[in-house]
Amino acid sequence: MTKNLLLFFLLFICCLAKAQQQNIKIIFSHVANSKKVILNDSVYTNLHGETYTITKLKYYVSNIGFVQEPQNLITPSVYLVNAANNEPIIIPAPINKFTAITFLLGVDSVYNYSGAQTGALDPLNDMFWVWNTGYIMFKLEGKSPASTQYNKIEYHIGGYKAPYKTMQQITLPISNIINNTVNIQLDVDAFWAKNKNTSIAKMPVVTTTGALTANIANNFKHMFTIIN
Amino acid sequence: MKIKAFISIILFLIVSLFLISATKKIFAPTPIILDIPTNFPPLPNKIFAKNPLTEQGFLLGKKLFFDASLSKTNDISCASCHQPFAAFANYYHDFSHGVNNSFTTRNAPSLVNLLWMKNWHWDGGVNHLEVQPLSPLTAPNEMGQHLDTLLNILKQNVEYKNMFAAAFGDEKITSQRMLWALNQFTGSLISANSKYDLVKNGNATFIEPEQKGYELFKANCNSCHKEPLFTDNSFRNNGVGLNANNDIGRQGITQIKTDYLKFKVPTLRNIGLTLPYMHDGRYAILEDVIKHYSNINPTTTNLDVALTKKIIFTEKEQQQLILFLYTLTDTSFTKNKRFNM
Repeated sequence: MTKNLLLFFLLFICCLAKAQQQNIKIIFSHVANSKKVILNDSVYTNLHGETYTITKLKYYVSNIGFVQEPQNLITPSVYLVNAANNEPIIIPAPINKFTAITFLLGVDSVYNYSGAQTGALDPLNDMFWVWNTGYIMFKLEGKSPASTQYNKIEYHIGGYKAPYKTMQQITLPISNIINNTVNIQLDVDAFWAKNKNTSIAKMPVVTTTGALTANIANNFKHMFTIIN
Repeated sequence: MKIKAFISIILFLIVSLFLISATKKIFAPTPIILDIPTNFPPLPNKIFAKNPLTEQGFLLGKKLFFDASLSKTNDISCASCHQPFAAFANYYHDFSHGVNNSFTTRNAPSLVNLLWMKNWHWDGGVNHLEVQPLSPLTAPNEMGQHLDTLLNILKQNVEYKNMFAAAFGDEKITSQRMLWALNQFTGSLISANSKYDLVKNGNATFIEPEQKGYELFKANCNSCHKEPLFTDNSFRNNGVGLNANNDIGRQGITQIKTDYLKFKVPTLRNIGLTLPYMHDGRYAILEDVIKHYSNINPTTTNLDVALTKKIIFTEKEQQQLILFLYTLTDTSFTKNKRFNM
């Protein structure tokens, strides 16, 4: 009898703990020229005065973490954000107040050399290099009259090995949360660093690993802001 | 009263769980224990750790390997360019034929002892054997297929549905399962029963010119084509120079200057069957290959240090070396019905 009561008590505690856990919704939105990104539609102008449209914008977000006391909470999952569907990411969040959200833009190196994967990492998602194994961490495709390559722009940013790693650790301070939702905005303008060498005319297509790709990836940390 | 109700709910759950599991067929594929040759080095990777090797998985992989309906035009299979009788190389083809009368850009390598490699392809661009098939399946000048189309073809095929269920427990067909099955077949392609192996194991003897050839081999070739795999799986520039495809080899993968024109040292096992030779199949016969190593210009950019001194053979020595190389042919492997359709 006492045993049963104990069991009930334990179950009750478990339920209580579960109830206190909340889900946090993370919504990634995308802008260029302060305009909402609409695929295959709007025309944008980059920092070099070149016009372009966007046909694809996809990237991996993994190891989402909440900076909090006494210990940060990190979810070791991989999500594929796709501007074509803008599906929010929903993860169990801490009950404590957190001061920043962190994530890895890209896929942890171990997944890049561990063979056939499933889910967000399934090669079906068209984010996998088959000729030089590894994930494309960030993909931006579109059209631009400034491109000398059939007016196409194609940026497949990947590479998991030093010195050309492209994964980027992003930390975004956060002050208030409304409705358990975190709104993160990616500004495509930041992709074109204020540097002449990153113009569409100079580099319309970047689809291999190397110094240029790693350099572009370095810029990723300036692309994201919290817009809560 | 409440406790009684609680107990009866628990009992009901246990009974229903038991009934569900009893009606479900028990999934128990037949495990295969890989026969690792005793004279081979230990395996560098645990390739079947997540993907346990089973008879059902192997048979599915074999069916996929020989199935031309996987290609965009229904006429090219993996086996089109990796023929069992040629030790899974492409007999007499410098480049192979892809869909729509296209050419590949490199010579199809022999598929043997793949488990002993750490990376695959002539440039080592593939870092895991499981994901290797994605390259030839989707390349427009090989099988030219889209991965989603390919999976749909398999999903519509009852035989495949049954074979996936037998191999993996249910009918679900995913890219991972397809790649795992192919890996079970290609990983099983182990060649270690040539005359050379029989001699090494004390079950045969070389005739005199073969023995002389073996000694020449050990003195001149063994540093790169290391026994018993007959490759050290390193990348080296052997001085053949840049071809018409401007194929820079390993440098294209690593972006490292000193990797210019380096290609993976191929195994010499079954070399009598894997003609033509080199990464672009430029040499039709072994005599041409040997001649190349006697004529390398020592000032060639980025030439491998092992080749800076010319390797010169007399005509007789050349014949002896070739006779030795023919002892690496393993017909028990190439004629093995288990690896043939």
